[in-house]
Amino acid sequence: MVTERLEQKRRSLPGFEIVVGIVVAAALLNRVVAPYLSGPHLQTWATIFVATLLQAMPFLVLGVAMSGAIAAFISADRMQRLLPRNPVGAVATAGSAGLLLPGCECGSVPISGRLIAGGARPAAALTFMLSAPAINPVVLVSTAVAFPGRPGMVAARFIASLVTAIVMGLLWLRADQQRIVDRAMQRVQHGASRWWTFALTARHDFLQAGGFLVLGAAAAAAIQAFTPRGVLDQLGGIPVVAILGMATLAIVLSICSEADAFIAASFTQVSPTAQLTFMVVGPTVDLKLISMQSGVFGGRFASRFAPVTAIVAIAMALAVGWWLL
Amino acid sequence: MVAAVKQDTQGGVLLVVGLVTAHLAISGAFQSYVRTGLRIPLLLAGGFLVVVGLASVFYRAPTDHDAHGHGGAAARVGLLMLVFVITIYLVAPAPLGAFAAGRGDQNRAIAAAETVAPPDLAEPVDGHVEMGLVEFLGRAFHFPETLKGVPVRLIGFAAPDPDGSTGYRLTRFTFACCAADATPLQVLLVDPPDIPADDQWVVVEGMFTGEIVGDDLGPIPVLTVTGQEPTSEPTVPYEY
Repeated sequence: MVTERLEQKRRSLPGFEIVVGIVVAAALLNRVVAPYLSGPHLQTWATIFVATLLQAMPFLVLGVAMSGAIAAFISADRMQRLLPRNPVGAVATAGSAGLLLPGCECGSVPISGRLIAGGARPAAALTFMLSAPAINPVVLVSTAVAFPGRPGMVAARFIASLVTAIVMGLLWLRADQQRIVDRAMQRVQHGASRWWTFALTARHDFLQAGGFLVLGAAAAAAIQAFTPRGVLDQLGGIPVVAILGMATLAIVLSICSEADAFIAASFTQVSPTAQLTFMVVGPTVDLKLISMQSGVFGGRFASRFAPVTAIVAIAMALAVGWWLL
Repeated sequence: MVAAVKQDTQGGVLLVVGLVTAHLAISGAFQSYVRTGLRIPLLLAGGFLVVVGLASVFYRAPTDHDAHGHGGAAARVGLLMLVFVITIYLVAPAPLGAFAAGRGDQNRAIAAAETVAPPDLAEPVDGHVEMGLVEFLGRAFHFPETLKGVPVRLIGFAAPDPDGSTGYRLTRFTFACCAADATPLQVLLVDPPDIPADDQWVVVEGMFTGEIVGDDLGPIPVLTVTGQEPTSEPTVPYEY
């Protein structure tokens, strides 16, 4: 312990100064370099990349502030008392609790990691992670606005998303819970006081979730900027593969759950069920989410969880679409 | 752990990202990317990051766990947040323009929407009714009779007409959340006095011909131009 303290004091790498230096250099070089970086593809990529991150920023910060609060102020006892003891009941309760968090998907990934570290059943926390961005009031209202006069679409989205989240939770009840818990416990930050625990957790989660968000946003922006839009549209335009096409589109475009209804509504050439598929898949699996989940839960986890989620989401959208739309 | 990123570096990233976010919110530049209504949430988010960042840089957090290095691994990925800052200052991305508009999809949402009857036309200014492209397109697609014989004044930027007419397309982007979900709004201008450079903002006066060209994936109403004047980019380049 003592040697570590000493090592930290030695300041082998002046990290903070380097961070500041990079930013100052970028700002100063702007005038020199900008003319070489004005190609239309790069400009479009950069605009979409920055827009995605700025849009996510308030929700990400809200998410990491909540995850800090969970780590610092909610004891494991209290956490376990919040959810029913019965595993199925816990998953169902966590799914419905998604109604309460008015945000997009970026904030809910770190929160669910902290819920697990705080003593919540992993399956229940994963259900919450999938349901919160899909069924919260803001998303439901924006869906209603995007599909005026079609309340069936809002109901179908709500039901299909909630059922997807609960089914995923039930599936993961059988998974190796201990591995997920161990991983979550590794990420625990203990400060000397509650407020330091809050700050350390929020900082840790912001850097981790934010870093992976940057990767996901960069990939999604590249697909938008470098693929002719017509190619993406044709994916959704072939009736037989429209459902799979819309699901693929939702995964690669990585649009925020509060905006995806407007995009879905603009695809008038596909069936309502295909539109529904776009809205059920998007908030649960997309490039930025896969990236963030592999950061919080590990790459091994994400490589199983994301494809299964996609399959369940498509199946639920088909079933509910066939029933309601 | 050797590879751990130190506390003050981690704090530095939060501080810088927070300051840049707050700077974009205060300067108004954020409106090139997201909605005007996001100003306060961005300020709050930036402020939170600045406070946590400053605390990490200037007070060494007393911790009993930080030494085992997991925090450091997370922070290494977190250095990627600097790509966001560097992109803003080096590439200085402009609002979406003529190149992005060329990807198609124009007007599709408005043409597909079931709209209610629009309110009465605004009072004309200098003989022309001023309206946004959203209103103009809604009328042109769903209530064309309300535009019959009405001289209008529109604002947008110039984008080429790939269908090879003699005119150009007056364009503005619209989005629900941010520029990542943006689609272009376009009106085809025929017989303009000249064709402005791509991305040049213009105020155009003219009249709807009643004609709609393009296909179902991108219908475009046609306007005959009677007046055209270059103008500067509006503070809010998008129309919501």
